[in-house]
Amino acid sequence: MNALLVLVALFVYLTAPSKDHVRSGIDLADRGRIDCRLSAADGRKTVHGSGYHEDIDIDYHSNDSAVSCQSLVLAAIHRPLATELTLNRLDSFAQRVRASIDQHFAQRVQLWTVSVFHSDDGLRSKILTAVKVELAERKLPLAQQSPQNRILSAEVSSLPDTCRQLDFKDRSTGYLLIIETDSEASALRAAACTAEGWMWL
Amino acid sequence: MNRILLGIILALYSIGTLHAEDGDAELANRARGASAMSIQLMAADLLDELVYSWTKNPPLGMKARVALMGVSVPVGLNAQLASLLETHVTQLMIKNPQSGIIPVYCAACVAVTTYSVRDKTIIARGGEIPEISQTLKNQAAFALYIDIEGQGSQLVLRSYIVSLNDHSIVYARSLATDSSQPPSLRHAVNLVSADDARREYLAILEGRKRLSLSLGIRTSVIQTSSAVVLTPPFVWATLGFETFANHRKKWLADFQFGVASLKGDHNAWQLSSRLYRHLMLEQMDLIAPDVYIYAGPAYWEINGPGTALFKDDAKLTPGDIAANLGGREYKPKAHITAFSLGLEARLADFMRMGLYVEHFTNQNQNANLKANIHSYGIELGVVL
Repeated sequence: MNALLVLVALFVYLTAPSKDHVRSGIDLADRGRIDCRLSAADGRKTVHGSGYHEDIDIDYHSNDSAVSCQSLVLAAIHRPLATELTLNRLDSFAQRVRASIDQHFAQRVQLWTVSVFHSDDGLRSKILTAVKVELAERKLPLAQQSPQNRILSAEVSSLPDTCRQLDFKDRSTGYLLIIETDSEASALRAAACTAEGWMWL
Repeated sequence: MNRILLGIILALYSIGTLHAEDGDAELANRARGASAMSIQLMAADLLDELVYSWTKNPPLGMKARVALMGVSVPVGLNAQLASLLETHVTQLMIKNPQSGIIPVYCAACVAVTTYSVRDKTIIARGGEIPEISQTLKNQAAFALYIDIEGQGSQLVLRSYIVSLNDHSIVYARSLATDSSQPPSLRHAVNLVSADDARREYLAILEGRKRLSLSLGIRTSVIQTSSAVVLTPPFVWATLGFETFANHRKKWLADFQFGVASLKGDHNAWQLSSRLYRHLMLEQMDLIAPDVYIYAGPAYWEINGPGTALFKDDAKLTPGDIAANLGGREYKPKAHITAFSLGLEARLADFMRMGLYVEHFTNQNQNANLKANIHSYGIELGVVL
């Protein structure tokens, strides 16, 4: 009788539907911080799961919403909030700068030089690379910054004045300057210095 | 006594409190290490993808000497990771010459250098000072910059190439992967696309049908009506076919033909089938052992003196059994049908170790064996 009970219990366990395709609740202690996005589903059939578990299909109704959460890629590394904010906004900031340049200068500037004025040297190079790659990927002509130019070594407060004093022998060149305006709020601002003068973007 | 106990508890509590901070630091350090390992794999995957894209569409359109100006790693991780990634990307460029990039070591390009003329002094890396980079043309024509950064759930790679001739940026590319995507772990030689790498990986994971050749040692404990007989370990080999019943490898079915031999005792062949169920599917990976529970029927045909036990025409004493083992003339044959239930662990899909209980279904009338006879045993083997 006991053996029969054991066999029945074993059978029930082995044939029970596997739950390993269901995402477990997010354990904040384990996963650290998470990155979530909320999106309203529109009735489409959505396939859930990673590459391993593609066997689950879910039909959403039109009034459903989906929250998609992923763990932060550097969840275990503590970084100052200002650093996180700056880095997380980097893509959108670089895109806004590129859009501004497109809008204000179109083809008038044939060669841009980018420089960043930031109190954190590590972040300075991250911002510089992000902006350069964003512009270069969109085929904006770009030069590696040449360290000897006056405006690239000026004090932040005197940048507009320095820009006005520059002698643009080649009027098709321009300087794109990214400036940290508020270190606590991780605020960045872009400005263009061209033959036409100084312009906040 | 109570005071001593109280003293020990207080001492342990104090030690725990004193070391709590160290413990937190140690945990943080371990978390940092685990994170760096994960970032290294993800970053290597992004570098693989970058160089793969170069093999399909060379960024410079020609073969050119390119100096790597370093790999910048996420803020918070150290230079050790940077050097690992620099080594990886250099290896990729060497192994994939179709990218058109000839990696060169240009110390003067990378080193921080001072350049002074009458009215100015510049401190920068050699490759970034036009006056100096002009003199480095025989070493490198281009400089490659790579930056990797964690942004939310994404790891982003940004790269650009600068001409050392006119300092213009001639190529730029950004790539991103996120924390839910497992790295593809591609081979550096003959890089394949991420999709192909994924397919290869899944093919390995899902490899549903295969021939299996198992070699091993098997032994059993058989309870007779008057004694317990431990069979000496004997060589056991099976050739068969196994297949996963579903792509998630939850159920595994196998069909085996096997032979076993113990010199002076018996030779046997077997037909068997087992149905396996993976017990810890959620923890399944290519490194940790896979643990299965299995059940299934088996048919054995045994020849040799050791078979006497399974012949039910005469009741044997242990002395008779021992005498039969030495008898060269006496070679009975027995047919056994059995039902097995077992637990098996497979390591790296190669080594297998199992415990089983076998019920002999056609031996209930055997006067030499107990009713409801069971055999217990272990199997050790490798799957080739």
